[in-house]
Amino acid sequence: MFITLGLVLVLVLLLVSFIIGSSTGIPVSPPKTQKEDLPGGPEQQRPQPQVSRRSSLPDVISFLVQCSLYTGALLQVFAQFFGILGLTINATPTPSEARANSLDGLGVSEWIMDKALTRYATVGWTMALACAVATNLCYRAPKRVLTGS
Amino acid sequence: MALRPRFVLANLTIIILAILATVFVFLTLTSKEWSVQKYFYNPSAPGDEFTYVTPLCVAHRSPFYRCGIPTIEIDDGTDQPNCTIPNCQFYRPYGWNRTSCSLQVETHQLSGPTNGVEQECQEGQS
Repeated sequence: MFITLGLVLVLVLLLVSFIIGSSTGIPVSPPKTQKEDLPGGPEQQRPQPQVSRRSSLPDVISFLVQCSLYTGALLQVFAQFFGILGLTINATPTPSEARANSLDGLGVSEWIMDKALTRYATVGWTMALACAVATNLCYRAPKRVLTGS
Repeated sequence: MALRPRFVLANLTIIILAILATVFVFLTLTSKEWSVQKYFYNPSAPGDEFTYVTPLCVAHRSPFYRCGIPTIEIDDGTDQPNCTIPNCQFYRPYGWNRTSCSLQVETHQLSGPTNGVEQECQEGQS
């Protein structure tokens, strides 16, 4: 269950990352046309501070990406832990069961962890955490990073 | 507006990391090799583990994959042991009596290819 949730969250973040990649083309310079009108007065173009007019969409997406990445990585770690318990220590058939049902000369080892539980799953959550940290670093101070100033 | 190189590089890094993470999670879920049990054959000293050099056959296990208990037959002609592991297949992740670890209540059998104890099935489900 944790495993499937972790995978779904990582897939969600991948989609969202693509959206971030395309949506950060949103300009951060002050827009030319203003939405607010002075009551009863002529429209005036006013330079607005960059913070208040910059769209918050990249912020929201970045927050979502980081949340899903951290959660996915955490769930994957839980899944690995329970997987180890359920697939090695408590796995059936146990060595004694296998020996009892076969020829006398059969030697049976214990269940031990294999590639997917050790390497693939670990790389999965490590990459997810690295991606979360990278997202955090890139979108923490957007004005300075994105405009390159 | 022109894309600045640092901007492109940052987003590229994020996307590559995300793709790697997804690929490895996908590999993990579809792989059958979560844990392994090796079977050896040594008629002279079956319990002595220092004779476990080359496995005759191996059985894998994953939350969605399960094998049955192996059977060994001695080939009459060549006197070599043949190991066959029956019922190795993938199972569904959910469903009554459809998963790789089913309780006796579900399978209505005392022992079967997917029978497991409750502790094992609970942990495997997580």
